[in-house]
Amino acid sequence: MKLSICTDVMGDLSFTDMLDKCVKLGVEGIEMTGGGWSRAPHFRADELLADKGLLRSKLTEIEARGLEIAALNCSANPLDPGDMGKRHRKEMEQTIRLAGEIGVKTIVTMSGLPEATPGDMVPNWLVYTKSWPDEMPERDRYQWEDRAFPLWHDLVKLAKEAGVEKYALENFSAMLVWNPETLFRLRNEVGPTVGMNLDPSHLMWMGADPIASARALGDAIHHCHGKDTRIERGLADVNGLLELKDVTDVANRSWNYVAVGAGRDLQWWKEFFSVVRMCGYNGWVSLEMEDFTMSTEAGIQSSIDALQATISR
Amino acid sequence: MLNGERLIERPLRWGMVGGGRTGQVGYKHRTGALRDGAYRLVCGAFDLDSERGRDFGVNLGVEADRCYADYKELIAKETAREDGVEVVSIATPNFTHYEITKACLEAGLHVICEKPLFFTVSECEEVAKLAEEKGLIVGVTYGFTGHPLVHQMAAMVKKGMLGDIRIVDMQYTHGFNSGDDVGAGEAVKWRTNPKTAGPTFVLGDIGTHLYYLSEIVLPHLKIEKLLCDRKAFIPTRAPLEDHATVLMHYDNGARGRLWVSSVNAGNMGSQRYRFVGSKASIEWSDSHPDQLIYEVQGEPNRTLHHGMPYLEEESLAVDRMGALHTEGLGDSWANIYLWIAQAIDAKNRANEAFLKTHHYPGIKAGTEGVRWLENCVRSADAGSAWVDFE
Repeated sequence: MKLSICTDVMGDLSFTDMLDKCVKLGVEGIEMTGGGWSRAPHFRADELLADKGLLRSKLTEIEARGLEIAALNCSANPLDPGDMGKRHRKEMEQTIRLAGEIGVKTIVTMSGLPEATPGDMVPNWLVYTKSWPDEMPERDRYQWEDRAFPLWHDLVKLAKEAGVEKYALENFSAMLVWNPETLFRLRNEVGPTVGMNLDPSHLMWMGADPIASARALGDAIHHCHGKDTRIERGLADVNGLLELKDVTDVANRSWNYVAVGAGRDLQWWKEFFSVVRMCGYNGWVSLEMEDFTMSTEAGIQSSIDALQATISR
Repeated sequence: MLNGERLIERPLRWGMVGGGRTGQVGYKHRTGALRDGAYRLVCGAFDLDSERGRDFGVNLGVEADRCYADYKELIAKETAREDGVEVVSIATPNFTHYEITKACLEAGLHVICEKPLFFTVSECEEVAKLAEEKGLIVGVTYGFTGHPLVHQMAAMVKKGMLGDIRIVDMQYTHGFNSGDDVGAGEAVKWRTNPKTAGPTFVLGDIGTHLYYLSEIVLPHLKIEKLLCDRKAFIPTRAPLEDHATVLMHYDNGARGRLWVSSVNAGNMGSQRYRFVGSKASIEWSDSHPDQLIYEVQGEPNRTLHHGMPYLEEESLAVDRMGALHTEGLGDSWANIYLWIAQAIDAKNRANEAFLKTHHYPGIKAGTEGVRWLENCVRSADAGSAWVDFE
């Protein structure tokens, strides 16, 4: 395994300062964002597709520092029924094309989440049993068969044309694909180009055991994020794990995203990466740092230290 | 050994300007480009007759709305597409190479161009600068220089198997233009008109192949002086030539002789190369492309066969067919196209480290070919005088 970092956390730094910082941190790769919800501070796909000179100068800067692009990221909802869905789908396609142009094999993204019935204005995450009320089965069928499958057949075709080998869909909440089972529902339809970006942090607050999830995924692990979650004792016991409060309201939330090692101990992380490697994945682990309980600087450094000590080399 | 597996990660989106139904060379480009999955033909401006070009392109499998009337429309429409063409091959008469190449580079497209690249060295240098600024590749299709036995010759010279090089003897002749030009086809008309062919006919059309191949085999030798004698046996071709001989002095004292002609009546011998050193000689001809004659002074003469394990690894690395089967021009073009694809792929990723050691016929090869032609013309126009190579 090799260590990379999702560079959006350094969005306040210029491209070259960000690269220099990555070299100082000792990571070998970078995962940069091409579009979607992110403002894509360092590697906007539309901008770079239109300006090949700028693209090459950025690649030269990366090469000169001995860094590799681990993956391009486009966290987005291409199935949103509104204008955002159209924009996100376009930016996803641009990110795929850009990856193809520069030989990056993996796109880290999300499955998307559509409306529950034609005409709805907003996406609708169905996470309650679909057998009741009576309208639920049709909503579920509509979301998957009428909305998600056609999109993903198109995206798989585009990836093949562009030379991109893998989609790594994050097991992110409020998406159709949010755990191994939902990943396989899509993968069984559109084929093995689609796999998981195994991000243990979301599975933790959903109550899953990411080590067991890794075993279930097997060769469907296409990428891995290093990000931790802490279930806050006392609060989760009272209110449960569904949590709507702002992510910065750390003291009152029942769970928080934290620097790696501040949720689960290093023994757990060692086992996690060992099992992931055992299942056949020996690619990049990208640090995603979203800990609001400490400074960004400290969060990055302590996470890097934890990942360097635990990833399976 | 090359076996047709894709060596770059995705096929480059490729288009052609020229190379349509009425010419011969387009097929050679496609034979080269489409062999290894390194290119996918997505568009073209194949013919001056746009309807015929569209019909031809559709027959090749190109979508009708991506068969364009001319290169300007191709560039405008393709660069507006997100999945637009990225590399364009130019298989048109010489006088159009410069403007089409420049337009493609300015639009951010890589270029693969027929030889002779342009009319003048200064045009070459201007385009090289533009390509450098834009971070783009210009490849030049010198047809037989991808053949494994050419690289066998280069490896043998490099290893010192010939000793010091003394004599370079090269010939590229045919007899297809032995008759007069009355009723000649378009291909002869543009090649014999200085406005469309440039400053030479056979020197640029076929002699430039000899020169570039000798540069591959003898990269350490530089020409110091040359004398070019050229003549139009068919007077209507003047001031261009249908026959020429060039004598060359190299900086190590070696002597060279080069004969090009399109009035070598009845001859189908085409290209022949003989490199003579102080210890041994080698000779190769595209008439018998599988065989390399290797003659060591005082020993029985040998015929080396392509694809055999006793060859140098540089040769075996680019062999495609294996020893039992003829390896020819199509295979050589496939190698050239593959090498250019690898260069484009590396350039796209700004992998300068790869490009530093990667060999392919690029803008420098094209420029040196034109430089050689300029020196030949200067010598011939001075009354077949010796001139310092500039």
